Amino acid sequence: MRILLLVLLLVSYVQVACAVMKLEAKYPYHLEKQGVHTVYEESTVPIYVNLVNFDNAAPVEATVKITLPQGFEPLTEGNEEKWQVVREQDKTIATTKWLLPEDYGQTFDLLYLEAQEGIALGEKQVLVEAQSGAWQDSKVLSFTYAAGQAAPEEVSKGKKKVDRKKFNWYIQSITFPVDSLGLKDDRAEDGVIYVRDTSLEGFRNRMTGEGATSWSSVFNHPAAHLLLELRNPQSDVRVLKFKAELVDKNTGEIVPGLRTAGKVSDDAEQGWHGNDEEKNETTALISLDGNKAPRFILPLYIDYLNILEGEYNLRITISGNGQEKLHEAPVIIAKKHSIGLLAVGFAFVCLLIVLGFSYKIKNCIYRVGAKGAITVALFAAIAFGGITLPTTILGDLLHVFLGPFSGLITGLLNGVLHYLLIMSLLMLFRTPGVLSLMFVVKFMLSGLMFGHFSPLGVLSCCVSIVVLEATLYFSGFYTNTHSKGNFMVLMCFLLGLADAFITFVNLEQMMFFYRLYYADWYLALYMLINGVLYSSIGSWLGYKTGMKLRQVMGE
Amino acid sequence: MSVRQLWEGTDASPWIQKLNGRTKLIVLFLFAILTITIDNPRSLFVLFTLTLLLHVAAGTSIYKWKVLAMLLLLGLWGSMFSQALFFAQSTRTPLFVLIAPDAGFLGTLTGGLYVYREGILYGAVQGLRSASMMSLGLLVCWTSDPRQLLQALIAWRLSPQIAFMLVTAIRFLPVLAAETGEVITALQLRSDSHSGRTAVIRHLPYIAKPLLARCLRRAQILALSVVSRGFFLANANRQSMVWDWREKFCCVTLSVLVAVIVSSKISYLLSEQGFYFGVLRQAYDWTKLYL
Repeated sequence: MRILLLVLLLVSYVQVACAVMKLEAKYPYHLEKQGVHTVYEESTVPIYVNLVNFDNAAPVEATVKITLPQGFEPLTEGNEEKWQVVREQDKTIATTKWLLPEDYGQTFDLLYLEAQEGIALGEKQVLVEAQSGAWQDSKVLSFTYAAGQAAPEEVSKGKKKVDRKKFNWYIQSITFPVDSLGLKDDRAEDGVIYVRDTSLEGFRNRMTGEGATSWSSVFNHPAAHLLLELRNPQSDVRVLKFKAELVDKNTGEIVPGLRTAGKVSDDAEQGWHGNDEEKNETTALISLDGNKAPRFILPLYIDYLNILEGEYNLRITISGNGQEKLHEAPVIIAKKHSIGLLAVGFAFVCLLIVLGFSYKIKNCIYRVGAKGAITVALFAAIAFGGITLPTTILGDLLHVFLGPFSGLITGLLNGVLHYLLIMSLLMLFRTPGVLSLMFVVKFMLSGLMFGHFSPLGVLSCCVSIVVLEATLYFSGFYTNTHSKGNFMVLMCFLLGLADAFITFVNLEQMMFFYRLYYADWYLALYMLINGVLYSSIGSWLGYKTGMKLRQVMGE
Repeated sequence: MSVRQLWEGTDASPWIQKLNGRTKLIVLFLFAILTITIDNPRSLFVLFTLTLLLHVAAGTSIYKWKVLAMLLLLGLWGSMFSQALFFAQSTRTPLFVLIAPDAGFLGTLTGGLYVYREGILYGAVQGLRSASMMSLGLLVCWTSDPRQLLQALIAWRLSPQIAFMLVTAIRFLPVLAAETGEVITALQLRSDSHSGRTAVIRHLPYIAKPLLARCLRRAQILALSVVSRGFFLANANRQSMVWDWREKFCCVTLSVLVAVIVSSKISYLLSEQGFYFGVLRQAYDWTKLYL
């Protein structure tokens, strides 16, 4: 036992005293490819050097020395302080000093090596040496220096002149939208990106302070893919940064709309998350692998909460090694108005239901008799004269001063007075179909007197009939004839909720048919005040009025 | 000119007064479909101008023109106002900040409220839809007697009982208005307040109950009268105005035209979603240019 403890102490002492280091080097280095050992004639390819250290008691300095064969030049433009280059007769030596962190660390760099003209083809070697205190290691990297690839037509024709002093890759073209395989669908319009409708989620997320609904959904299903074609006449191998941004056409400013996929660490939270550091842009790393005409299929991620539909310029920026290439293309962001479409679909279903049950409305007239029918007609006349007439004339006038918020004033008529009439009528004639009759007569009056015979008017009337009749029927209002206060409070609230839903469907229909915009918060405000609040109050007043009117009925 | 005269079609040109109610209602409905189908601002403007030309042809009086102009301008203003606030397209240029995004709860709720320059123009263009419909709707109302339109609905097999209810409602509209006046007068006289007792707005919440009670009593009397004479359950007289074949032809032609336009628009919208048919390419081009 004592011997075992002694051995363990010895092992831990050795670990502390002798820090471990590991040298890793790759040439030619490719981001996406492994096991490549060929460098093409006159190309620029990076060498990758990585120093891993373990158990360092304190930060230590390490020297890395790369010895290149004759004709290979390190490109240190902008990095002169980092890499010192010494040229000798038959070799070039690049040296750098790194400070390795304490405990564990990985220190690495890419150094681009340019093959000069006139180098003999064949097998060559790069020697990488690293040294820190007593520790030293070296790697010999063998590669084949081979003849260059055939260049694409426009490169070989000399459309772009190769300047040996610079990096010579450039953007050839950008095509979008394409599918995930980079194929262009001829049926899809060029430069148009369709984004899904997230109005409801947008409002919820604004109130909760979140971003898009589900980042994993956003990042697993990019809004579009973009095909980026570069030209790389020197067959360089590089790692470049791709950046896509939306630019305002008038001001030239970057506007919100694109996001970069990021992943939160497992410690913080699992799953996808928007990268907060790179807002309003989609970024990615791309790798030139020596191919003279590389193609990249890149996903574009949309920030659904902040994007606006309309015309923009899509600015693509490719950068790397101090060089930056820009390309702009017009783009149209088109939103799918699926909620509006859903609302219109629902309204059409309501229309079919009303048509299907129209015989029941007629039966209702026989059930309530002449007295009931005339009462309904007179109530509809009051609704027309007291609601439709003033809201048509005064509503427009109020619009001048209050704009869209005039609805909150006219809502006193549309909500309170309307539901007062409905509820008091229902208290007098508590039978299915009475409410529908009143809506039909009111709609026709409005059509005959103001010419309001429009598809939207018909659909809105049908939505109101179906939703309210369904609410009354399924809540047991028609069967529970001896209802007391509590039940009626619940009924009034239910009618308020039903009216909020009707308001939502009608506003969505209006936005769809008349191509109007209303903010999500405005819809919510309208639903809450005009729908729930006014209609519930109106229903309660209607209940009270209806109870009094019953006495008049009995006279 | 009184409000009643305003809603009477007696001063319109004879040709439009003579038109069958069915023709007017069909044209009105098809026109409404056209306005919600078309997106092109120029085409929308052409439709709007067409309705104004129809007013000219119908001999709309100066007074009615003034009323029409006022209603159209107010409607357009409303559309411009709302779209200036809620315009959600790029590019948009804020002219004023009404609520800053960091202005407490309201800022958080609205995400900032601005008046956008592009929204004003957009609202004006989109407002042409409702303006066109309002203009044609008023033309139909100002050139038709409600009975003419009601006859058209009865000719389309509208239930005679619903037609009776409609007639009752129209007949009693002025009576109800007069009764409302009486109730307000009574409330003013009974008011124990010394200040503002004559203000109508003060008595509005108390109008409903007496007015509805009077309605009920009137309904009881009317019902007795109607039932005793056997009016209510009798079938309506469906002998309506003769529908001229030329009007029928115009309605059929317009229906076909609207059906073609709507189909073209729907096929174009479907093509944007991937349902593209090569044979319809010319229709797509036409739709994109004019619709």
